[in-house]
Amino acid sequence: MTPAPDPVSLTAPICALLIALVPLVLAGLVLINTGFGRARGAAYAMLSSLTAMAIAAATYCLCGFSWEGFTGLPASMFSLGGKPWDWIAKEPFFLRGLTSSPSRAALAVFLQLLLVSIAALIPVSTGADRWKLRSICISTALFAGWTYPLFAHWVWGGGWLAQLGRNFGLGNGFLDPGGAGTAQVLGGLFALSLAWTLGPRRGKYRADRPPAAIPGHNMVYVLFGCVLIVPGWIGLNAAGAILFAGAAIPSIALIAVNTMLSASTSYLVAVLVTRVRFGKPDASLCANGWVGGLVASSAICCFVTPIVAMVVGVVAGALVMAAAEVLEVRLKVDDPGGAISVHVVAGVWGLLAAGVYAHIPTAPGSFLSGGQRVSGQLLAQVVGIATLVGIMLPMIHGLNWVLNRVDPQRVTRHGEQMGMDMHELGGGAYPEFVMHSED
Amino acid sequence: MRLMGLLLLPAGWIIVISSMLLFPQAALRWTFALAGVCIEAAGLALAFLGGRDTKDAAE
Repeated sequence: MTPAPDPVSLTAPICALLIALVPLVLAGLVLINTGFGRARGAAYAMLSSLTAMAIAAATYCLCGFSWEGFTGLPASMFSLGGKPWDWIAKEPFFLRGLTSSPSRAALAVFLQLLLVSIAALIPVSTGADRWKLRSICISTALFAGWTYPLFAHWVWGGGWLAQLGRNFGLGNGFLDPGGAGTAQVLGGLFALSLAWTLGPRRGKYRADRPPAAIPGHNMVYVLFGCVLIVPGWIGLNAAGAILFAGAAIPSIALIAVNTMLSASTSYLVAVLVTRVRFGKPDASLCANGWVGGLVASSAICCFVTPIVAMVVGVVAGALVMAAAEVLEVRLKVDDPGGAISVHVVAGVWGLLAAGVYAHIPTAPGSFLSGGQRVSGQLLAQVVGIATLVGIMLPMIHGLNWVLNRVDPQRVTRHGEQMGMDMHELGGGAYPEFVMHSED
Repeated sequence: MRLMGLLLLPAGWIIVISSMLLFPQAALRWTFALAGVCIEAAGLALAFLGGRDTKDAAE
């Protein structure tokens, strides 16, 4: 009789397979970004998304992992208040510190290359129809080469946020298994800074008038992107939970169920709210609700029961709807794809929910049988969120401000009127849209 | 206005971090951390309102 395979020996290949699903998240986000933009900028939206992904991956490989590192790898520390503060990794450039063996660090690099690309795609949606390609390249390189790795080290590389539990007795330290804070909120804050830097699209806000609706040109792209994104997100949450939270293989089922339930309930709330509010469901806001539920699930996926995941999804959906309206109407932030409300608001809620509801497993593999509440976890989550808003947002906006002073990031008025496809690429995505006379 | 808001953000963060270093008791820690979070919230509000004023003037 053949003995059953050892579950530990299966972890690496299963984790690699889960990570191989994550590019579906990228594909979904690219479709969503494109669908939410105008028809005259559709090809540019696709190309700029691909460019952002490529720059992010290359820069992360060049120097990003050097600053981020992984738990157990060399890092720089200083002492404050009698406690060690691990603030940055000390790995060599170009991933030279990694061996060819399938270690956890190598798998983490595989996942991080995709996660940093996901984070870099978020602001592309916000800058739709007005963000220059050159500026996308430079901003993304700074983000993937410095901002993202720094925060990711604090959370996933054994940095000071991860050690809040050991050093200050705050639960298990800052919990973020699927990247709700590290990828989603950080990318969303980059999007917020970009919206401030670029300003609204022309014609969006006029004096004494409500904001003009500039609908996305292809809701089919957006909604298909929402479907495509789900298996990728399950892979992302499961791989992240295994690599960064120590989840075991049997917990993958729970993570998949929680991810799906959070997205579903968030989406249903969006359908209900828009149906009551506008008389009919609004496709773009419903898509935002779906993605918002997925974002929130990234923080809680392996720590809660399915019923809690549904509650988290319901609240995420309601928050995303409210935030989208407040940002557009009251605060006059022009965010064509709703990236800020989806990624920042839902992500922050998910992180807080992890502090409130998380049950940390008491033994490896006990995820399905539940765990125990840990005191101080909520404060650890609050410290992590305060760091995102209090340090990372000013840092991102400072870099964006300097870049914008050196080389304005917004296209000219003429370029905006012409459309990004013609201005940046010299040709449109849909040439058959051009009107011809009969002769 | 936005600059003021963005300066308040790290100020609030420093208070949050100080709460962990200075107070081992949970109640005091929470009080100071929430004070820091409130300052960050005020900074964020100022940053948003600053942007809104600029756009009104531009349009």
